[in-house]
Amino acid sequence: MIRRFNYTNRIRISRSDVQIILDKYHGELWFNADLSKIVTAYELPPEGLVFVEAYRQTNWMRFDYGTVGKLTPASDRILKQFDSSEDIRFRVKVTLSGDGHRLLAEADGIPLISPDEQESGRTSLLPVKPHQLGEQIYQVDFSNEWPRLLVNSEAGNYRDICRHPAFMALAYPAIFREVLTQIIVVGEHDDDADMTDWRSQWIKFAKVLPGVGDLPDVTNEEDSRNWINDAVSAFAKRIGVRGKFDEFWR
Amino acid sequence: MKLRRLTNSGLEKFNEYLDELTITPSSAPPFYLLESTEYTELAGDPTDVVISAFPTRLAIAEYLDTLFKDANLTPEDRDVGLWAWLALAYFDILCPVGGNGTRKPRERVRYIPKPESYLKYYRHQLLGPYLIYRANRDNPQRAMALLCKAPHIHDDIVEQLASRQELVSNHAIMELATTLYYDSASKQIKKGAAGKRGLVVPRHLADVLSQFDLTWDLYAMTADELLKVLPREFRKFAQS
Repeated sequence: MIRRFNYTNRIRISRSDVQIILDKYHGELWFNADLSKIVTAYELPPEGLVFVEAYRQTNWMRFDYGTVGKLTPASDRILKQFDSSEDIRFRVKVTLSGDGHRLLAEADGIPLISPDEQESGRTSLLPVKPHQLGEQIYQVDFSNEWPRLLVNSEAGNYRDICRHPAFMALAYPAIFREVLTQIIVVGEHDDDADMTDWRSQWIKFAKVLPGVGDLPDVTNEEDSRNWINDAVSAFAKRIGVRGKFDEFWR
Repeated sequence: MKLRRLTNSGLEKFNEYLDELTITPSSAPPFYLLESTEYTELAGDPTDVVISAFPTRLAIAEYLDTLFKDANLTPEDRDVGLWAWLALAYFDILCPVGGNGTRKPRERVRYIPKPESYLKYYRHQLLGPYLIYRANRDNPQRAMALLCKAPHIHDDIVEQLASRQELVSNHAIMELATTLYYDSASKQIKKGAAGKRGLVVPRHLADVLSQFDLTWDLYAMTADELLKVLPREFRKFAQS
């Protein structure tokens, strides 16, 4: 695929400046979008048209949200084209009408936040999903825009598995290592500033662990692997892996 | 035969057969699974499934749409057991026996879908065309560039356009692809349209449109508007 260039200075809206919250309306999937930061944090013309798009695979729906100067959510925000809320992503677009549909600003890959997540004020770096995995207990899945932890749906309740001290002690550090290796060694990604990018979020998370520090030159594989080792070690300490191991190894 | 879905143990058996087929290409499909109560369960209201040769991806998608309506079933994209059962039922069409009595199985996702993977879900030979059909149900003709081939053929038009969510879900882009690559007189893909190299091939079109996607709101544009801003060679090819 060719590289894509931003010739027209389209503004990239940070995903963290948009919140799309899942709701139910008479049993149907419904969403609310908080776009208030778009108005205050970005220099966009008040006449800019605002749209929210929901998508998954071949399904796509567009919702009119009025203009930057006067946000007016579409009255019908039922996600009728989607059979479940799983993996629905959203885009927010600001366009200029009458100028060949020019795109002024965009945020893409925005996840749907459940009411629980909204209450806790956090979204997961690694969403967990039950999945048919045959003989494997877990698998880190990089096949979507955002990595996911798949847990064998036939092995038991996936939430209980993830909370079990055996799984936490043995699988968590390995999962942490696998994701960092994918980002740094395989992808040679070294940016930790772009908080709309999951890879940057993971690097930032690892960097602030005690004793880890800045990334080395990611083109040097040995240095990268040493940095990942330090990060995994600090992560294991943070979640108390030895104590969890002792809980079941008796 | 009634419409059913494979259970987990049924999926295991189908997987085992696909493993075996890579080693022994003359192995017979496990059609006995299709009506086994041990390996399958009914899907929707009991409804007869017609096994016949469908000439195009559109024809089989239309048939499946009718079948699901008759069965009073809203097929979930993620119902792996249902789509795998259908692939087994139509296995002679999706993985036909060649002249020497053997089959050439393609990658596993052609028969057992991976709906959670946006990189692979569209490659299933029934779910893929069905989703494209469903997204264009109001006018399936606009997506003929992706629906006109035989069900077992997955060409580069499908691969390049269906693999990019922002392209396959856009009606104007589906219409544009059909204008460019589909010859409505012969009901075939134009010569040279499904190649991998050249100035007008789908791979290049997808790259150009992905670049445009940064500049324009492509969902607000018509196929004609898109064609006008494409490089000249595409416009010439559209008239060929």
